[in-house]
Amino acid sequence: MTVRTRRFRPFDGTPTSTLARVLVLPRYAWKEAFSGKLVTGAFTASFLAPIGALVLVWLKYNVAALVRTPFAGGIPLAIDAQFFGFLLLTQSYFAFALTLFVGPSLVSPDLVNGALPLYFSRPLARWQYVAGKLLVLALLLSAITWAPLLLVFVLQASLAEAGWPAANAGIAGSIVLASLLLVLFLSLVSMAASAWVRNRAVARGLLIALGVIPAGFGEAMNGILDIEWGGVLNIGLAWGRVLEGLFGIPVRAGIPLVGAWASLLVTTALALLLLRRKLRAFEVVR
Amino acid sequence: MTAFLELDGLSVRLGRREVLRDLRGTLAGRSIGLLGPNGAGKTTLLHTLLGFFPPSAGRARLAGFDVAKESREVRRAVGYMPENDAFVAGISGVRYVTMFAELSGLPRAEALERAHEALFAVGLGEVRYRTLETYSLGMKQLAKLAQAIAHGPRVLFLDEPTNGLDPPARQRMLRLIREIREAGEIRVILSSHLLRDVEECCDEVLILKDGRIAALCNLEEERRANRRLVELEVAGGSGDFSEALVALGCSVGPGIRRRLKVVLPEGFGSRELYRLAGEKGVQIRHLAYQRDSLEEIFLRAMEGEP
Repeated sequence: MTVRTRRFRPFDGTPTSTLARVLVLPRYAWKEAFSGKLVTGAFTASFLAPIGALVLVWLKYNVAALVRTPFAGGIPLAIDAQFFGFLLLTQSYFAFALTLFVGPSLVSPDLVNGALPLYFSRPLARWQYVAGKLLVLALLLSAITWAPLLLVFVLQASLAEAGWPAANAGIAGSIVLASLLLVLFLSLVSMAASAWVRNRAVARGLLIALGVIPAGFGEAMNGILDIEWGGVLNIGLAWGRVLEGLFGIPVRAGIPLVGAWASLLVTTALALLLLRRKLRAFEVVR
Repeated sequence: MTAFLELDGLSVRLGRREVLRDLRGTLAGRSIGLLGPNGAGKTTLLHTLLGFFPPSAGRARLAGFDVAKESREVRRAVGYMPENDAFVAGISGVRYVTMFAELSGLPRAEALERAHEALFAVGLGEVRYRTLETYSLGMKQLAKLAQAIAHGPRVLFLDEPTNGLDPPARQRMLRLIREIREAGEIRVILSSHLLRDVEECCDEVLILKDGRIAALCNLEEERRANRRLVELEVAGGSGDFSEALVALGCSVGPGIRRRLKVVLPEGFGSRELYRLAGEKGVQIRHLAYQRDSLEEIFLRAMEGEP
């Protein structure tokens, strides 16, 4: 065994940068995020659709591989904005499932175990703590949303006719924009929910309830007041409407596009406010 | 000695309550004790120094930094051991200490090296790969101390470090704090409601009562002064003995019967007293240095008007 002397010496080297300190948080939280088999399973399963899409795109331009199959004449599927819109919609379900597992475990254990005073007694601001924790989900969700979808886009662009990339460049922008909105929304809302209730299981329930209860309330409003914009309370519908606006995929009409964007952005802002209120070294009881 | 902690009319309001009121004082000791009954404002003062709560009036400077305006520099210089449980779930002791050292600005390799050192220093070397959840209460307290010292702070904030410890663990914790103080590289600010803890570890004490400073005393000076004030009980010619003491530079106070209160000059100790008593044919039956203990200082401070 190594014999160690007792030394209490100040650190006189150059301190690391702010960015390096922020990146410490996801590095340590990453292992915890993947400690459960369910997370690993859900993460693996979330690559099925993008892999299927990659195969589909490749086969579409390699008809020879389809000889002796019912699709010997070619795959009757247009690789267009709607295709990517549906793909992202599919991935958003996986993203929600992963968020349910990972999001609540990022902040609530620190609150329950009283670790926040230790974090905030370091040269680390509250927003840097949130950013560090958010990076865990952001990296995880990026890996199943915009990253694989852009890969599909690049494959399609490389196999399609010469004019396709220029004509459809907007799709890549929409993929990135919608994915970032999804990542930010899910990360902040899940962290805020766990900061509020301080319990992983309850936070998971709260996230599901957040998708169901306001939606039911909105439907009730629509029925009673004979209106349609009650749908803005339905987060899932609002997300679908945003995808419809960006990719042109058909979803149930009812709420204006602005209302759908507002619904998601206001919820995200509320989550930020809640995090600002709850993530303190010490909560002052007034 | 240069001022280390300067309080200049510091007040802190939490909600509608003014928890700290017009604190003024300068402390320069290597180890400063914050003493006071529960609710006196000790922890709030520590949190204010850490920048958790903004001052509502006045200001405070720690190690030359304004705690409100330069809180980042203060936090870089401080190691903090909070009063309550403060852990990260599911990680081992060494990862816990390493992570917080990295968050304090140490490069990864240096943080890991120092985490091992700190855990060995506090006596958790053998259990450093166990997860924190498996630690006993005493081990958790030591782990908190390890994370507070691993990054090599200039100041160590210890908030009730012996809370919940059994007597051997408490002694071990106090010995560690004294070792850190004696090493001379780290200044210690120890908050406690336990007089013995402060008396054993600190050389300056700030006593708080209802958010105000009730007393501010230098224990080292008190101890030095106490060593010069002696109570004697003599048998034999006490008159001659008193005159001889005065002739040698001692001040002799009025005593009851054969009891004398003597203030000794520098360099005059018990050995000289006994020699003089022998010369004068006087028996010293009882000799006691005055013990104006921290407990007495504390009780006087608590009796005073806020």
